[in-house]
Amino acid sequence: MPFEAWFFDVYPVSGGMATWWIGQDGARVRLLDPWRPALYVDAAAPGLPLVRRRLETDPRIAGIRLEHRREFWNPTPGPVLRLEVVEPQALDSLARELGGAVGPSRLFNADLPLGQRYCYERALYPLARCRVEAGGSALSSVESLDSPWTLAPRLPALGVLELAPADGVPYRLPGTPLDLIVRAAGGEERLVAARPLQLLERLRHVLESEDPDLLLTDWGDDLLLPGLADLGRRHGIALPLDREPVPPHLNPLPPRGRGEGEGARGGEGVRREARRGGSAVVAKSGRQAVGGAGRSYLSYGRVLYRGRAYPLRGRWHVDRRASFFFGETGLEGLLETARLARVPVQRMARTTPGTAITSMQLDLAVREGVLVPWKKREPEAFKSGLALLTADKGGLVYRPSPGVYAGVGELDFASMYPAIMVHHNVSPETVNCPCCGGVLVPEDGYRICWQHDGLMRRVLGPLVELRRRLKQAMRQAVGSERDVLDRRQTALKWIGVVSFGYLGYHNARFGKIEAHEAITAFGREALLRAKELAEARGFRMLHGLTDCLWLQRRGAGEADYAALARDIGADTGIPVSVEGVYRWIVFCPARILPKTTVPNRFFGVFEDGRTKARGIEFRRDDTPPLVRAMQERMLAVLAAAENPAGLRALASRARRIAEGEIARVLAGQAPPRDLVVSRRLSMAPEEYVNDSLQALAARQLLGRGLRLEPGQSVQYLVVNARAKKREARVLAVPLVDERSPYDRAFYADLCRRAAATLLDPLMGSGLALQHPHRWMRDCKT
Amino acid sequence: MGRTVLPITQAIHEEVASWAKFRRALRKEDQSALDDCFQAALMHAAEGAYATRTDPYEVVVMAILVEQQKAIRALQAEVARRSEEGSEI
Repeated sequence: MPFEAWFFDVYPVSGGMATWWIGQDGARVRLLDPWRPALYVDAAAPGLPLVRRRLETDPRIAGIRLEHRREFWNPTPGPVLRLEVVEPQALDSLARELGGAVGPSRLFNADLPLGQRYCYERALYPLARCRVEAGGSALSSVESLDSPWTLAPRLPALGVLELAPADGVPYRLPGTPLDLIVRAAGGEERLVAARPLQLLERLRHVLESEDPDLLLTDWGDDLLLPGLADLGRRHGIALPLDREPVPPHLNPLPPRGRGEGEGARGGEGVRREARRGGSAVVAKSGRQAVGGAGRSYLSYGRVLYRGRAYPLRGRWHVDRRASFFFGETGLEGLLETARLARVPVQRMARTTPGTAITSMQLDLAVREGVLVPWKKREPEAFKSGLALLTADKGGLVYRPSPGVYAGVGELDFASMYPAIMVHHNVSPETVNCPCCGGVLVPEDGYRICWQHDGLMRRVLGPLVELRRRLKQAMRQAVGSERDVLDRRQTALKWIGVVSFGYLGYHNARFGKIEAHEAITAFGREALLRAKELAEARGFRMLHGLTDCLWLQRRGAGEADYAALARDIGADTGIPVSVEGVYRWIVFCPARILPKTTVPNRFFGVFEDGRTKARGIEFRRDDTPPLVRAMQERMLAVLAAAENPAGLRALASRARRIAEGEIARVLAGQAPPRDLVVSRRLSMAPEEYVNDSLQALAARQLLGRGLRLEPGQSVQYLVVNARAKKREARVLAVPLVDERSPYDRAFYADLCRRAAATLLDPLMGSGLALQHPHRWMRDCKT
Repeated sequence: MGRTVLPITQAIHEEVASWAKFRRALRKEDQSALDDCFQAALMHAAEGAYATRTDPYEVVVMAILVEQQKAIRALQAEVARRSEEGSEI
């Protein structure tokens, strides 16, 4: 008897894939799908005859068949052996052995994440509405009833349980209790760690009675769930975190990996372990680190850290502090991405837009029967899209002259790089194609195929189109409905942004540096065309930044800028929108060289009253909350100004806010919590040779048995920045309380600096620090 | 992503740094004029990057010339305006 249900979760178990469904009646149902994936070996591989016989008797293989198929980089089909695997979980080990025997380049479809691959082959995606047929507890057929591309999908109501450390601190000194805040639909309660048995019993009761679909945590991956599981083991209480019913000893589940949510990969052995030596050192959660730890890695000159993962089976666990998509776009954006990319939600939550774009490419390849070559599994890097784009050498990054300007219009190319890929058909396999003369790329001299639609155009085309429709729908929507649409379209923006970065990325499966270069060349061309068109109409270009222009013309209004945007769009083939016309905008002078600016540091107010600021203190993570709040309050005062003259008139009011705050700080009346500085470590605590404040704070924690890894943030209060005894300069966060003393001069200086950022361009505030003239300070003579 | 090309801003900074001895020997008032020149160079980093000249020195000098020419023009315009108004220059 078929029934309608939403597809919820999938992961490998013995005998196939466990799938979870949410019925129309609200029932949560587990069905086993005896799905058998296949991997392919190049039939002409020189090493193959040696292992062929062994393959035929290998119990892990259900069947071998000769087929003709084409692989991604090669347009002509060739003979391959199709090996059907009995157990999905065995595919990994089989692929590794075969890779060793015939060489990894002769293997295809061998390393696609199982959950994703299952979705491609069954044409499923998270929360797909399906017609399901089951025989007993096994899935016999499934058919998806709608598409992930719908504008208004019908989704089931999800039960959510929130879990957070009561003190809001992401790390813990060994032995310190961890009180929990539990939030469900019914309300909020605090569970006290001093009574562990009660805590466990209560939590078990809540999990059983609420049976949440989604466990939403703060630092659940690294801190809460490993901690709770461990606490449960010590007191003999098993928390029903997973929904998977089979006891672990009957069905040994693979070790929990890095958020794959689907089993055996995650491979602790593959990843370079961040924790060096120090077996006595205690993990962030305050317990001995067991097996898999987090890892540190380098991305775009920054050291970043990714913690352990703790995905659940049959239930989603999303650590909102460790999830790129949840952090940027909320649950709606996360779901939108997971659905379009056909990636199980827990994996999507723990990876980056790069995983989404790669998955969309893989989906297309698998659906078209194109074989995907083996890719050595490397950790993909966290790319923070827009910041990265402007920093990267590709785009044109002008510097505006510092000062206050009125009547400035900002024009943005909408999703410039994805739009270029779609418009100019840039794709790894279309750049310098072997099949036709192609179309010339500006500057580079590369050629782009005009005969075949590239992979990127086919993947990104619908994405760009869906984003356009979502933005269109946003214009008619209000309130929370509008917010939801906004989060969904923002998620798509991220996928688009990263799709470009991935082309030039050596770990990307479909990367090709020439494609990457071709896109930036088209981008520079478009920005210069826009500049020329604007200047031909009497506009002056104040500033240009990769895909945005700040233009000025006396008396020009919204309509003039809109007309210009339309014409630039028509000329370049890339749509342009008017971000807004500023009543006034300030391009901040650089601190060290005040006659110059840094590219992305400005603040201003649009004619409709919106403020926009980039690169100034309150936008930065390492600014203490007190300073951030002060600068925001000052900006709110300035935002009332109608024009530059009014702005100068309001400056003294803003200045009084700063003076009040500085006086409070100097009097020792600021709450220490508001002064905590958060900074990312670029090295392990003991590797710092200098005595920077963050190094001192990290060493302080290390001395108390808590090791932070490179890329993790350390939080500290500055106690006395100039203290002779270095240890006395800072106090790391778990040690800070409301009576902790702080360095008044240090924090007053931070306030002055933030105030000067806003006021110096307007009035020469006199608040600024006396900067030593540091020009050429690093030069050796 | 590996960089094969030194970012233009960094190249300009290195060019500037190579003039450190020259700057040190200059009188204080001349040092500040030199600093103005180098700041002008930095303001045209984007144009320099787009032009992909092999020697950053060329970019630095051309940017200084452009800024100087702008200053000259502004002064010329000011002179013209004042002489039209008949005021003393």
